[in-house]
Amino acid sequence: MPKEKASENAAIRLSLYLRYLREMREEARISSEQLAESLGTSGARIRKDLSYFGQFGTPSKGYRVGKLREGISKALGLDRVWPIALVGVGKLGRVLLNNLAFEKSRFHIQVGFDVNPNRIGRRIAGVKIYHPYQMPKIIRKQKIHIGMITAPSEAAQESADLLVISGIKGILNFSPARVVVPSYVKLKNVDFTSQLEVITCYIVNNQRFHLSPGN
Amino acid sequence: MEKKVLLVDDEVDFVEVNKVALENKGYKVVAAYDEKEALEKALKEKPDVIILDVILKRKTGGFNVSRELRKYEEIRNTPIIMLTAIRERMDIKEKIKPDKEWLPVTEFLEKPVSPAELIEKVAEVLQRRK
Repeated sequence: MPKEKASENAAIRLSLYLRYLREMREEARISSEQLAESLGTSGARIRKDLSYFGQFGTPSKGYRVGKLREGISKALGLDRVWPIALVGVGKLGRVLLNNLAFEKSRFHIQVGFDVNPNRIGRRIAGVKIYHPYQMPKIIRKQKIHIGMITAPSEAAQESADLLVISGIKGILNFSPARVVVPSYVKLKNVDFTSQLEVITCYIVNNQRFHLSPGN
Repeated sequence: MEKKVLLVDDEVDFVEVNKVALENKGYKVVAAYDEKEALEKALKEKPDVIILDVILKRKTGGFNVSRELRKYEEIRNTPIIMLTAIRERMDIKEKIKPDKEWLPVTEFLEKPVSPAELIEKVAEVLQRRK
């Protein structure tokens, strides 16, 4: 068990380690230096991250891939299935529903909420859709801790408020609107436009040739 | 000097009863019945205390008003007493707590609230501000 609260950066690095380890054979061994080289970081950083979450082997002898994978999965909370509540079953919501509505998935959309009367009461990709005002009861009953917001910008904050009062512990917000949540709820924003702007900024400032507007 | 109270609730009867009760205790009471009116009157009247119900036009309308109020320098520090029946109406088990960013209110009062309780809370909040 970690001694104190894990930092977000450490969680991101653990996720990267795990992604790399998944491509390796379970019985193989890997040293922190080998892992570091593959991921462009330092062995010391990796040893520090791993020791923070527990004992995964002896750094001098290298780690057994299977055991390390298992340990990191546990540290990331991936040793269980996480049911998710989706708010907003429009175009983006449906894409997510079609990809994350499988019970075998570790992250599994279990219930949807939408204000559109044509969607309420229906099943979309096998997932039952309810009115957002039913959130507290449904979320508590189904023991859901993660919410995803794919509602339009103007409904994003109300969606977040309803998720929070329903007892949700973490929110992934796909809406471009900035939402506010209490300090005890983890919020991650996935703003496609803002990410594309980072890319266009990089392109226009690093091109050796000039891009004319409209190209 | 008489203290000014802004009372925000979409339940007309609740507003009327409590307005009279507060006025009888010497407060000047301004009423608002929705989110927009609440913001407008808060900025115009600059009350000493705001009593704000959670459920307005939207179920969490009061949450939004409390955040909006904090955006204006002149009313940023005005104490807000939040009234709520949302836990009962929406079958919420967990207690809703004030939060600096998410729910910047001073106090919570669970409805039903009697005029006497409301008067006591207003006096308490104003006393603390002195």
